[in-house]
Amino acid sequence: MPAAQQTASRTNTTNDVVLSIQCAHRSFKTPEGGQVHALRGVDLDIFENEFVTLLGPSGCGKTTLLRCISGFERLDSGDIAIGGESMARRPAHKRPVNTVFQSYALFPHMTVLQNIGYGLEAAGVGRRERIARSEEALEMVGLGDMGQRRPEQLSGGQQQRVALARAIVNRPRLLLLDEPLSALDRNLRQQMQIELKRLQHELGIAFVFVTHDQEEALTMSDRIAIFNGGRIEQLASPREIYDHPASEFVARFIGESNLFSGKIADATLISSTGNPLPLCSKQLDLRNFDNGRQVTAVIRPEHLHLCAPEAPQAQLNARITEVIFLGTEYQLICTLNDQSLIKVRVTDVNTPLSVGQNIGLSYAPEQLHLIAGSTPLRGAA
Amino acid sequence: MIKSNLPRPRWLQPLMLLSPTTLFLLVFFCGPLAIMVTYSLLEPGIYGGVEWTFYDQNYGRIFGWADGLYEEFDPIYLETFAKSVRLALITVATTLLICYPAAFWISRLPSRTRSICMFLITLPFFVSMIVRLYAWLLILRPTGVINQLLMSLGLISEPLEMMYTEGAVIVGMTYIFLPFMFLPIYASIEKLPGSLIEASQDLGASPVRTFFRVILPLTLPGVISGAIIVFIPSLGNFIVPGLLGGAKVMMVGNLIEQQFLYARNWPFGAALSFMIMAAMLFLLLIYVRVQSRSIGASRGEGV
Amino acid sequence: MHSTFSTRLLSLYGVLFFLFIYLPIGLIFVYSFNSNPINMMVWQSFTFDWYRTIFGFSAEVTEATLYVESTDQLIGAVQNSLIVASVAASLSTLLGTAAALALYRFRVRLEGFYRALMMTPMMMPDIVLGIALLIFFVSIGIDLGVTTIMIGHCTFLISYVFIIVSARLAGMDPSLEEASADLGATPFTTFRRITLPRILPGVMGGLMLAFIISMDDLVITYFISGVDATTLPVFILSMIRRGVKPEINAIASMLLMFSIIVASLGIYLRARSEKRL
Repeated sequence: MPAAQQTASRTNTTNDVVLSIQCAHRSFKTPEGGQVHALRGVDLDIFENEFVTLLGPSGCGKTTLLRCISGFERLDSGDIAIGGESMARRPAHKRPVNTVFQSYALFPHMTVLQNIGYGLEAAGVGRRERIARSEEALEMVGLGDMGQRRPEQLSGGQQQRVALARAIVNRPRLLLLDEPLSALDRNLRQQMQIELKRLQHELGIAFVFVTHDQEEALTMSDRIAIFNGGRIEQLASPREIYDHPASEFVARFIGESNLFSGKIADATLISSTGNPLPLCSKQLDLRNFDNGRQVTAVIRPEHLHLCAPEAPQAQLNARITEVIFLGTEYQLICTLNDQSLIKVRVTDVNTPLSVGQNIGLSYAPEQLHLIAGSTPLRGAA
Repeated sequence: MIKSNLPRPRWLQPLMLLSPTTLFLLVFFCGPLAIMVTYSLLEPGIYGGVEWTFYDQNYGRIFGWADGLYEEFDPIYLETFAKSVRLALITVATTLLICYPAAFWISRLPSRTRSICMFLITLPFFVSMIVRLYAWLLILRPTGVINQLLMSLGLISEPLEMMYTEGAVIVGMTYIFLPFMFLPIYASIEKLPGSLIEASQDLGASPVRTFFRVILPLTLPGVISGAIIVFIPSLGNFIVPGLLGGAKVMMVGNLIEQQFLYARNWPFGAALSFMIMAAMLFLLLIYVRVQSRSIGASRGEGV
Repeated sequence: MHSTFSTRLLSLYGVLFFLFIYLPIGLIFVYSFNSNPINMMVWQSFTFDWYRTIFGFSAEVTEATLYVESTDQLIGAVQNSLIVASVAASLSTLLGTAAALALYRFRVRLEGFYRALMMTPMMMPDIVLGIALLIFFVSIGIDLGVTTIMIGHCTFLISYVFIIVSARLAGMDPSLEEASADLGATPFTTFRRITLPRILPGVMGGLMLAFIISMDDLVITYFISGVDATTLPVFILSMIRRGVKPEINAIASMLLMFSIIVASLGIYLRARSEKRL
């Protein structure tokens, strides 16, 4: 990742590193005798008061990393340090982190207040203070009067809040959240997203949030770490990740994108689409891309504009294959000359569009983001 | 499955937890079985003891290679074994016929009634076997309930001879092993989604067809489990034939009991026991097979 | 029409099914109060005499007409049964629970072997196990008696406890224990505050069922009890073999009631622990 991008993403969090993961490796044996590499060389620094999301498809290693931070899994090699102290030899119960579990894991044989006070009790906090702090935490998540209930008497959303209160009452250095919103329905989930963000600001604790939901990640995070196959593909702010995906995987995983691969020749991309695609020369200079370099170009559907076929500004010619109405806009699926598909967003819903119609497509060259190297894959993702 | 990662010596805690039990079972379960198998290959002593020499005549008496000098082959042992197998199979069949409809009925009850029924069915399992058998003694005796009833109604003048018949033995074994058959069948019927039965009817299948094409194949693993866990204790039973079958209905269990308590020929008794154990191990293997296959089927790896 | 008819038929069958299960044991109970000493199954009048007889309070009606089993022998058998069941149930609960915990909490090598070892004693036909134990104890020179019965019962009771406790543990959300560690509780605290309370009803249920199964065991005890140590079921068996007498009704009824009460409690505890998971 270019150094310029990394500093840019750090601007709002210039404080100390709270969690530092270096070269984390972890593999598991499968029941069939094979090996799964859950983590292969993960480096990650998280700063005070930062909201970092670990995002990726299932089985990408994000949950394993979370479990290694909390101490339920150990690393094969590498190190995890919290507040500058290595956690390698510390069991889970001695680590200054707390977790909000996916299943909430509320103790069913204790009341809500007893659940919340459990961590304080383990830390040896006196009864009076324990109750006061537990009630305060319960107040904070908006369940002030539920203290004497049992977990099974609460709704899913309320259980979620109790789990949150139970974790934050201990004032951990780091709060880990393992897909905590996945069991909630859509409305409740959006509400909790806002509330989590608010809580994080109030508490000033770093949050590490695991999810596979990109929308969740984009709304809440200061930075997102995109996981794939046990590695971090990109670590940057949501905006940065959307505008400048570091790899094809990231480009496909976040938002919708069209990918072209080919060679650079005189500020154009020679790809199999037939037309040479003009590139932004500033970008080429900045990244030292020379002629003959293999690259993949990414363009988001909303950055393509319709024009008449064969019009001078048309950089691509295509035929409309499908028109999908999305309420405020249309999504077009068009076929290019080489039979590959491309997605286009049309915001002007009054444009007459019909399947089979030939169209031209144009874009501003600076919107075409380049990714170094290329794999044989191309077309719409 | 990821097991929780616990600190400090990983091998010490499980070792401390596991070894007393393992040691106990190795000494007092595996040990005795091994000695029993050894005994079955030793020569019986003259006064009931055992000579520590290899001796294949115990099995020879059963299977026919006895030399006729010291031991004689007698087909009665194999015949008794065959009869035990037959009675055990009939017991399996009767328990199955009784339990299947009952399990079906209970699985369709409202949940509260259902749990009460389940409780009432498991309860007799914990009532002493001897007490449950004694009940049938009271019922089947010449002066028992049935005969008294029939005679007072004037249907018969002489008491019917129901005791000391194969029928009495089968009734007794069916009665005491009923819960063994019921529970696995019920477990498999309860798992069967009602929508499958409805789908079959919707596609035009008659109730009979639905039963044989949908319900029975899907509950078969439960039936097989039940059949095996009823068959195993039935095969070696000697209390039921002892009480309800008397001298007329002898099963292999009675033969073994005789060898140990009266004939004092322990090696031969051990050889007979080994036959039951071998039958049980064989069935257990099938059972494990069926279990793993039904788990595979429920995972969608082919039925 | 068709479905109501078949539903009714099935319900009728269900009633018959329960009659088949409960009528025979109900008969023992009812007829244990029948005063007819000659023909036990012909109702004469209500009496407590048989219960009095077995406790040694001789009743006038029966004294002359019937041979009264030695009350001392009966009390001895009951004592033996209670001692054996208490010790065997406690020991097997300890051993079975420990094994279940070990296999649940830790990745153990040869897990399949351990599971098979814990389960087979239950499946072993009791006559085989009884005989194997008899040969074993005699050949290593241990005198048959209460101790051998306890050991014999433990072998198969471990299986029952192991299965019940394992089921309880498997039904437990593993993240509960992780949550406890995450909140700073030591492994011991986690065990005491989370694991134990969660499995305790199951363990108690297992203990009670083990107790009652030990109380009721006949076959294994029959082979390894020796001359002096009789348990209640073996005592009843030998009594029945000597001839059916009204006193047996009374003894059997009391054992019946005892079994039903303890087993109900055990099943109740198990069901409650299941519901709360």
